[in-house]
Amino acid sequence: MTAPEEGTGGSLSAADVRVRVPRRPASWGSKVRWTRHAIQGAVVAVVGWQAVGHVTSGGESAEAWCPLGGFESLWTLITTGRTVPHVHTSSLVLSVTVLVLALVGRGFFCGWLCPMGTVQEMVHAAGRAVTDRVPPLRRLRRRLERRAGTGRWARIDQSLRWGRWVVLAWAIIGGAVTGTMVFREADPWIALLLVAEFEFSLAFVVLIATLVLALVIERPFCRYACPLGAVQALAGKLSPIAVQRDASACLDCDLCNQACPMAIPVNTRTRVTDTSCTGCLECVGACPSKNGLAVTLAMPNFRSRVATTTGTESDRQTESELEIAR
Amino acid sequence: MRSPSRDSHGDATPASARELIIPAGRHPVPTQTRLRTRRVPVAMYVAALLVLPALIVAGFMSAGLWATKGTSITAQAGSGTGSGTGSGESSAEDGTGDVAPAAPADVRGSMTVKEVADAFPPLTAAQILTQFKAPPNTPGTTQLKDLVEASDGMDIPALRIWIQTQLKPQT
Repeated sequence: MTAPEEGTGGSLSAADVRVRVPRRPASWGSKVRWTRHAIQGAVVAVVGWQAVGHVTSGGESAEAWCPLGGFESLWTLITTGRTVPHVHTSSLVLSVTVLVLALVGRGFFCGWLCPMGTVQEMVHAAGRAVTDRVPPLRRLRRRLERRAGTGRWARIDQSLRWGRWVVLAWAIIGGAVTGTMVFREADPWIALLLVAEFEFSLAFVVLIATLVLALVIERPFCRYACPLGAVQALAGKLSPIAVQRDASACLDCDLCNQACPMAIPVNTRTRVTDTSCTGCLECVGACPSKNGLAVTLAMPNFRSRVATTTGTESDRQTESELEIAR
Repeated sequence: MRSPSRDSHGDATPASARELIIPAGRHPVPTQTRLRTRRVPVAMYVAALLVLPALIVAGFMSAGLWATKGTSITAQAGSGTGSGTGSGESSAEDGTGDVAPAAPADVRGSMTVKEVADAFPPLTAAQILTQFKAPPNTPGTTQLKDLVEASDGMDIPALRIWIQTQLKPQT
């Protein structure tokens, strides 16, 4: 599988080592992506059906399916045994569910289930489809993409990501102090659910801003303002599951970075434990090397403080061959 | 923002090749981590994390702790176990409907006039409708939030205070 080759000069120096690594089938990434989109579509369909039913026949509100309410209601629940208005037992159950999901699977909820994330992805895809067909817009987008990860824009992006924690603190502390869902007034998801009962509000302004930004930035609300994402980021720090990069099979091609909707520099990580990781596996799907990126489960290591990744038998074989090559 | 080349494996190797070559000048070094890790098949990862939330929700549902309309969790639990907290009685047998309020603070806009009147005797539906200045022939199945919208200034917090004052002489 892995065989050292001679460099161009015919001598085998460390700088000239060329290693063959297995290629991942090109269709593999597409299969993962379409599976994810199918699951996202199913969730959006269920929530949409619920929202339409609420408006047309006065059925239960899709708001009852929002896990954030449970976290906002936490202090009131502990101190009084009651939930704040608009929060039902279903919200509390979903809060527990999302928390457990984050403890086990990190950002899986964000990447695979969250309907707000799905809506943003859809808008971004629509924006790309339009700009791909209009040359001036396409040039503008590429210029922006080139600048996005560097210098001032990167610093702005990093600074704005603190917004999630600010919003989370506001939602939790505000809920505890006032006994109401303070974030509800600015929650774009609520505005989207109640779009049929149109009312010009802060939430509606945030929704419009999110959708406009989503045309050029992937998942802007998830990146900069989602309090539920922040809760999961905290819980996800304890998760044993993460995407792991094997540097010995990494081509340094940058495709994983380009694929990441949250702009995580995947090729600089050993394990992608960033708080903004949504577990969407776009990076894994984009990686052309079969062993470059993989979902891994971490287990306690009692034998050694520093150990080499133990994957399949072939991985261990790869490592020994690389030792010989060097 | 991502590059338009995301779908293509942008290397020079022909698509039919089953192997890729790490470019000269790169340093192939096995990944070092302090953790002992094991690969998880993506299908297993996705399936497990889809089943997990379904099991949790199903567990809570079977325990009677699931309501998409309703009130305090204490009242919900009380009605679920059958012991009740005063007048805690579910209006929907399947556990998805409104739960009668156990205290004035539990009154919600999603509750109907009849539910509130039944929960706090000797209050009557007519008295509640009077508070909202609603016509006396308004159906008892009308939700309080609809009355709030139609009323001039009366809201749910004010109704809770009014109920509290009406109950005080009895307690």
